[in-house]
Amino acid sequence: MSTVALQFDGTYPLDEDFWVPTGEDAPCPPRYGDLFATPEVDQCRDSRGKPWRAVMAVHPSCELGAKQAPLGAQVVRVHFLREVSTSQRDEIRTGCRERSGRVELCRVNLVYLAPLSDSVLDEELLADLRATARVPLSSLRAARLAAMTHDARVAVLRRDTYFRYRWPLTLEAVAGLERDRIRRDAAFLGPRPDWAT
Amino acid sequence: MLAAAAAGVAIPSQTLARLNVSIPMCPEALKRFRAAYPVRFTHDEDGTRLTETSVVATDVLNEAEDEDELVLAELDD
Repeated sequence: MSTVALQFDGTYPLDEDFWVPTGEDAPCPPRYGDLFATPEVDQCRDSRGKPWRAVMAVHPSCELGAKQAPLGAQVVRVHFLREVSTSQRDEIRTGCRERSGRVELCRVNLVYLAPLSDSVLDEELLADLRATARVPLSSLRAARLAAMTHDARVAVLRRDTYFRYRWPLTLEAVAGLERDRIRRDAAFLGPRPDWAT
Repeated sequence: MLAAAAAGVAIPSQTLARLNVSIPMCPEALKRFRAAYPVRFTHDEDGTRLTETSVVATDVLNEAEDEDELVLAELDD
């Protein structure tokens, strides 16, 4: 598997490379990883009845577009990073920690998300992969707050794969799989990443 | 850890904490380091060593695009 030229080498890209810039996201169909305003459904409220801050789509991208999700789309809860303790914030920012000279994965159910400029989500965020909800697909339409970049999606897929299946895939492996998938997808919509043209 | 220490970045580190090494916290520096430094995870969150994994090949699968939705019948049992 040849190397894919991502814009980052670590666990996540830089904050400025996380979201497709506002105004450039129109050609991008809704995809896994995109950020949406919280639908007005009971499943997306906390124990006090307050709506979640936002939701991130974890539904297969193909069912968020032309191929409809018959029973609704799967999303996960998004929090402000400052809702957790200071020490936990760094572990979420990095997704790993050092212990006895070893690099350990940590907080594997959580995904760091960059701030969304000029919005109510203009601060560091996290998505909780355990806090899932199924929402009507119609409730997500016109509610997208940001489209995730293909680079950031590789980082999130890597994390999600480890969380769900405990497959410790390298960044190169996930990027290579994503590149090959995009290259052979004749129905792929929107701009392709440079590394998958 | 050494790369982080050399760069003056405070990463989550038990060793640095045990050695009482205090590096000023800077989330922006941490994120720059996080994006630039290739991380190979060697252990899971419980400290168990991860096995080497190599994805050697993928298959080309053609997916049917014209499938009807499932219609589930109500069963008596």
